[in-house]
Order: sequence, then C-alpha cells, then structure tokens
Amino acid sequence: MFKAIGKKLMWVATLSSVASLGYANCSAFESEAEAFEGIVPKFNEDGSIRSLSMYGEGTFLVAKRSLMSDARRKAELSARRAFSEFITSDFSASTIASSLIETSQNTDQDGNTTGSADELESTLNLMKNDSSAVMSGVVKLDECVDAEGKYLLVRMGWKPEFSRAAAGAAGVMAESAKSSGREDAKRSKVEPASGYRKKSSLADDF
Amino acid sequence: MPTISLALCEELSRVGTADDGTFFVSCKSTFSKPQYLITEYYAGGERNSFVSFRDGRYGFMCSAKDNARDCISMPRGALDFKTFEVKAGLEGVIEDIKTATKRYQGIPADYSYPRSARAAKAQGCYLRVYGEERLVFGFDQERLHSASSCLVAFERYLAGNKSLLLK
Repeated sequence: MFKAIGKKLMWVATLSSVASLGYANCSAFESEAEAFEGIVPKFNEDGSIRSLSMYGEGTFLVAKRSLMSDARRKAELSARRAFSEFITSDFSASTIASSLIETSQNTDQDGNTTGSADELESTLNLMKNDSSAVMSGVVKLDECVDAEGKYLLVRMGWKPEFSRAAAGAAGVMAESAKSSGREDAKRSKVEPASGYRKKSSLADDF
Repeated sequence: MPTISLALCEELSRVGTADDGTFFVSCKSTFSKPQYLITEYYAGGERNSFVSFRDGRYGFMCSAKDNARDCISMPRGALDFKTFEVKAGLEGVIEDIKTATKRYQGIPADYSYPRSARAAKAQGCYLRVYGEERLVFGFDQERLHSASSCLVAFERYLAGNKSLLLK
C-alpha cells in the first residue's frame, strides 16, 4: 500500500516539477521597460509629449489562477496609483517637468531636453486641472507573467489625445480609446502554471 | 564550525482545469540565522498559512486562514533590525520596510524581490541579494505575516543559486 502511495506521490511530484518549469515570458517585457518605478515619458520629434507610461508589479506564491488574478489587480492598481499620485502631487508642474526631463535624458535617445520643458509643463498643468479625465484615459498596454519567478508585470499608459478627448463635450474619442484598451485588457487570459505576455496593439503607438 | 543543512522549499501541486488546484509549499531556513519555517496550503478558494520566525530573542509566529491572520511576537519583540553574519563572507541585514525606497534607489542588486519599492511596500517585505556578499531583508512590523513571501523567495533563490551556499 505504501509503495502505491509512494508511486502516486512521485507522479504528483513529477507533474508538479514539469508544471513549474513554465516559460519565463517577462524577459522581453523587462528589456523593453525603461523603469519599474515612477513615470516614463516619451516625446515626439518636435519635443511635445507623446505619452506617459507607468509600471506595476504583482507577486504570487504559487501559480494558481485566482492568486495570479489578485496579483494582476494589485499590479494595475499600483501603476494607477503611481499615476494618480503623480498628477495630484503638490509639486509644481515645472518641478515635475524638470524631473521628467532628467528622466527623458536617460531614456530618450534623441536627447530632448529644454525644448520639451514648456510643452511638458503645460501638459502637466492640464492634467492636474482635470485629473479624473486623465485617469479615465489610462489604458493597459502590456502584461506578462513569469510563472517561474512567480511575478507579473503590467504597463499602463496615457496619451494627451486621450485626455483631450475625454475632456471634450461628447467624450467620444476618450470612450473609444478607453474601451479599446480595456477590451484588450479583459481579453488577456491566464494560462495556468505557465508564463505569458499579452501586449496591446496600442502599446507600439505609445 | 556551523554546518548548513540544505533545507530550501518542498512544493507539491495538483493543477486542475478550473481554479481548483491544490498547492503545498513548505520551506525551512537553510542558514541557521535567522531560523524560520513556513507552510502554505492553497486549495479552491481556501488558504492556510503558518510562519514561524526566530532571530535570537526576537521572533514571531503567524497563522492565516484566508484573510484572517493572527500573529504573536516574542516578549522582546518580533524583529531586530540589524546587520549580522549569515555565514563567513555573507552579511545579512534585516531592516524596516520604511527604508524600501532608499534601498531600491541605492546600489543595484543582483536579485530583487519584488522588483520595485512600490511593490515591496504593497507586499509588505522585500529581499535584495548583492552578489555572494550581502543579502538584505526588509520587513513590516505591522504586517509580520507578509514576511513569509520574501523568505520563500529567498529559499527559492537559493535553490537556483547554489553558489551562495557553497561559497
């Protein structure tokens, strides 16, 4: 009887180890991400602000789907909170702009510096004045799960167009942008016990 | 001369088609300082967890059933924030999670769990490994039960990086 139980346990252990091998699919995400903390700005060639990205992270102890869902929710909330804190902070727009310019010097290969400051500052002021419209324009762009490392990363993003549209009378564009992003987010399904990456078609435009 | 028994983690799981898998995780401290024992059990929507952490005269025990948690600290306290020798050549640091931002902005670690200070604060603990010389744990005195995820992460890290053991 003990032999039979032992055999069964061995099978369970073997299946478990095969399942835990998984596929680490966050390496591409991580190599593309410029930071895991704070806000990452991108600029157009004319120095105007193109988009802002923020990252969130969630961890799970075992690759159980409900735990991964919790981790995803935490990661999204964390990224949104970072964005919310950023736009509602007491720092003046010019201070934030300078700080972001410093960040952009590190991240932007074109080396946009002072030319972007005025544009960025005015954009930040607009964002502060209508933070709820800005928050509603935040969409999920990318997500990956590393089943082996037991963590999950998400990238959320915002573009000025989204906010302008949201602030418009009809708000049609904002709703369209928002819903298109959210639909993408809802479509991402978790494959149990293996890593994956789900990138929104919007991401390349950010 | 202190001896190291390779404890690490033992994990067994049975994964179903729905969210009805069963997961057992059992981890014991590989190094003698600090000493800890963690058991986690997940099945269906149920979670049972137990953590025992002992560091000299400091320590705690926590039990969790789903979201209900109960922790008891030793009379002297749960955590002693300090720098100590884990073994020859390997320095250990146990610090307050309040220093997470400063720690993450400092010298880059070879391994970091989680990857960001924000996630560390949300999770209630962090682990940073600097080569084979230094490891740093950040724990939250108000959320002692959260320490288990970083301790499990450390044992899992050791399993894949045995050089830290063999050094």
